[in-house]
Amino acid sequence: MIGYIIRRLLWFVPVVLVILTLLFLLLQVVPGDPIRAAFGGENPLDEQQIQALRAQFGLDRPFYIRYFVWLWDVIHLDLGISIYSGSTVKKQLATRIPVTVGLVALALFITLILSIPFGTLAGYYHDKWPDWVLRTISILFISLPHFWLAAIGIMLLMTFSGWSLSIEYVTMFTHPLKALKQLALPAFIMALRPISIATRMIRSSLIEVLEEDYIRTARAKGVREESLTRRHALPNSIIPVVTVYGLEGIVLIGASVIMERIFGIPGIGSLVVEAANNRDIYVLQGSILVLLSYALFLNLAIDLLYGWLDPRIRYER
Amino acid sequence: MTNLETEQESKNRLRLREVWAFSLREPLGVLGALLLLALVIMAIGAPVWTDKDPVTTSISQAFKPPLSQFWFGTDFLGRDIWSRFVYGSRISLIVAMSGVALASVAGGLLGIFSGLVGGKTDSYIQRFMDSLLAMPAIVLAIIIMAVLGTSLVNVIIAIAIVSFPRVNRITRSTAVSLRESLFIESAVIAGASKWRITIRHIAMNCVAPWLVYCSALLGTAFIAEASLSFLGMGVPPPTPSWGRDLSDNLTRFEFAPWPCIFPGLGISMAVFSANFLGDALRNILDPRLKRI
Repeated sequence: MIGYIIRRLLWFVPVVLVILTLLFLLLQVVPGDPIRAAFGGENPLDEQQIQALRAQFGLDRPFYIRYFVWLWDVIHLDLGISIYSGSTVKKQLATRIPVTVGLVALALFITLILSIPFGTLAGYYHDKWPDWVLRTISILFISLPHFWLAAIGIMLLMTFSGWSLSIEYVTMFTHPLKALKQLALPAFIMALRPISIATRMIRSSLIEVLEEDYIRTARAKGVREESLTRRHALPNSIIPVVTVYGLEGIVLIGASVIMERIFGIPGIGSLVVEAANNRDIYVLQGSILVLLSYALFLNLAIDLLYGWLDPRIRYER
Repeated sequence: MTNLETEQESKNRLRLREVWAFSLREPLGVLGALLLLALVIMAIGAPVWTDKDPVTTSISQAFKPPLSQFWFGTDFLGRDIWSRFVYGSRISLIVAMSGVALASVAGGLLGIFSGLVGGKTDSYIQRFMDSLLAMPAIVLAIIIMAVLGTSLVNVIIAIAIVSFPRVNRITRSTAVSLRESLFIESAVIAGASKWRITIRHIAMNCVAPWLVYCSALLGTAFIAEASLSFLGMGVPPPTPSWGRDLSDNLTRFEFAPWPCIFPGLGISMAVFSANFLGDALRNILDPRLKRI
């Protein structure tokens, strides 16, 4: 088990290296100078100033040297300085990460508390009307794009309840209640798709488990249908869905990029978009490093949880 | 000769009956196929369906509500939303379909190759795919767009790169499980050549799961294209694109919702059609899921 975890953790290194190296190389190959992108706007700098800035950020050195310098710094937990804003990447990330963590965690929580009852309901009444209603609604929400739902959600709330978009966002860690209120709508909209997917998975998994022999035995022994579903079948049928929850935890990061843009939430998703637009290499690399580590650790956690829930699974290889 | 003809005839009739049976069993799938067909017709015949130019602006005509002299109204620059809707479908379809087509052919072939070769080559290819898969799809697409710059071809490339490892994984796992199966072993014993086994027995048997997966990917590709152009990283303006039209008009949603509603409907329609079709194909082609 420990050996398995260590081997998995060691695999993270090449995965992260491959992505970050590719990104770095690609950003060198394509035309477009980050200094000019940052300062070429209304009052363009003259050639001398640009050269001075290039030297300051080390951009005058060949890219492979820059790459190794950057890598060396990253190993020492120094992510560099933003070319665009001048502040350190670490500082930017430190203010952005808690916001996104709160948003994604809330969305995942909403997914969990809604999809399990919905999925159970649909599986229990399969091919009857509650199942049809839930399946139709879920295929609807799988297909509707987040940003459109968000637009409609904002409009409805604005017209009917006088609710308005927040200008300044607080984090879950400093002002939990206020953050909860601010993030409820974006988190709920983000959660609609994972809820729908998980509901469908739990439904089909529950239907499958309800056909198993041990359920028939329990039924023969006189267990009531209700507790049969809830206590005997449901726990086993949720196990395969754990993977789905984990994967949605990664997909939700993608959804948060869009939600943060619409609601003006200053999270890591909007940082990625800003950095990409500004060709701010170090900020982009730093945020990608964070997102990638999050996804990799989440994947590992799911696999471990899966093995804990279903002891038949062995970690080999 | 007549015998042969009747055989052919009954075969045709059988096929017709199959189509009919399919539409009875999967009405939503047929609806999806029809919707997708309607979108394709709309995109191809765009100049026929609208006589107004989608990019001409006229401020005096701004914010005309729908069902006036403009079917769908006009946006903040006075552009006709109906013609932007019609021309926008072109971008959506071209990007999603060519992106998925590129990814499914390249990813599918590499998956079969990787699964059959096995060993170190397979391991390296799969680790590389894992690296790509570790990123949330939209983030990867944003980065690719940031690197390549915004243009129609680059959006297609971004969507193809994002979809590529996903298709690759499906055909690889199918090929691996087929490689170990008994009927391949008996084909080897029967003396079938390597190529014959690869093409006739393995590749052909990968087609069903591959097709199911690609049709599902089409839905996500529609969303990805719309998301990218919503974030201002898709096809550059003034080319009409549903995602960008939506984001351009979002700030004026309160007093003029129609410029947002129609592009949103277009995106949803496209995704719906792909998802319905994909679901139906899965029910028909994937025997493991058939009974559910």
